[in-house]
Amino acid sequence: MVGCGLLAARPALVAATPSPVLTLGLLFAALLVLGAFLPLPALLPRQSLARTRWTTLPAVALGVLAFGIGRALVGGHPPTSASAFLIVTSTLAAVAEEAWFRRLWFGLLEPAGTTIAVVGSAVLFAAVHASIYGYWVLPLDLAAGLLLGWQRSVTGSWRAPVITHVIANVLVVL
Amino acid sequence: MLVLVTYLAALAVTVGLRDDHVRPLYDGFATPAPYRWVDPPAFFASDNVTPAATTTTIALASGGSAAAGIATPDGQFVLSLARGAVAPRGGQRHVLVRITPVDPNQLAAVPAGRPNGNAYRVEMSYQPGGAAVRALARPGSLVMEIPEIGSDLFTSPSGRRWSKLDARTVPPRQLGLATTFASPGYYVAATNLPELVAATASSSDHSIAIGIATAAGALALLVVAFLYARRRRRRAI
Repeated sequence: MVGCGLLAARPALVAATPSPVLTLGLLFAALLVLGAFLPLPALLPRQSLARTRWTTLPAVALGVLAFGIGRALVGGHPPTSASAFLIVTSTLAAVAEEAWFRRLWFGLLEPAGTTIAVVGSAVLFAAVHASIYGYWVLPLDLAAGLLLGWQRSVTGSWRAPVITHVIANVLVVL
Repeated sequence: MLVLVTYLAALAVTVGLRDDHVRPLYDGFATPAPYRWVDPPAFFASDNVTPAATTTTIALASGGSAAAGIATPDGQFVLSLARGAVAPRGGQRHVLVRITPVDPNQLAAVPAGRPNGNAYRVEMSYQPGGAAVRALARPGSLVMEIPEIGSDLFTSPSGRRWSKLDARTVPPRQLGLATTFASPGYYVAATNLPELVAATASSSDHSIAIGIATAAGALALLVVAFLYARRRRRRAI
């Protein structure tokens, strides 16, 4: 809960600290560690065996296709120029968010059902971006969260959403 | 496939509602960078990063110039030129474009209000001849970041007499102006707001409220999921 709150309150964090990049870096690093390593509740056998039809590669391909089509359709100029620093930091953000939402939160919600896990993690994912980009991004980031959550559910791993999210973030600045 | 269609539908609706300033995924690490001033107000001076100029060349063929996007390194001034924006000219192979941030106080006063951020000088010339490009054969578009809310944008060939442009503000922050780019010259935004004073904390307070609401929502979600999962387990036994 605190992690979601801090993600949503990023503008306040940035305003309150003398080094925004360091603050955000520490926040994402903490979310990455917690999201990747906190233990999750054990699933019912029926659920854990239900996710074997897909492999990671087709799920990643579909996700990248969606974001690639989105980037091509939108066109225009990126909001800022691509740089190694920007790509490294946005990659850290992508991996940390996937660990947080698609591993930890998905895993916490999954005992209640895969649909609840996909939708719940997507809703939280969209909500934490509203303070930065405005409420109007909620539908778009909710749809993106559903796509990433779907990847998590069909592959049984948070690897596919990580790869897709990293590529999607790079596409934003290209 | 349903998730792909859902995502693309959400993107299409968002693009339709928000014009052309949509990214495929609103996400990332950094919050918007502070505005870079040529001549910053006193209380921004200590943290100010001086904006840099940019120079680029665009290929020129028989059909005119190639399509190009040109932005200052900080992204505060962005030009988009379609193919054929600059008319062809005999013996010329390139168009040199230079965008330079300028202190607006070194130029003529704006007709209304006061300058809103930097002025920008756009120079375009045929290469290798060096003749200046006076106007575009096909107008492009210009997006200019501004530090304060305002909707006025002016242009001038020399910086001595300003003409008002038909500009619109760029959502969601409204701290950008978009207009048609028809000719090189000077560009400056203006605002009618009072002179800048120290920033307030309202934006931060707003995000704290969203943060608390999100955390509360996450807690509620977790509780509901826990109760639902417990009921499912009882049914399964």
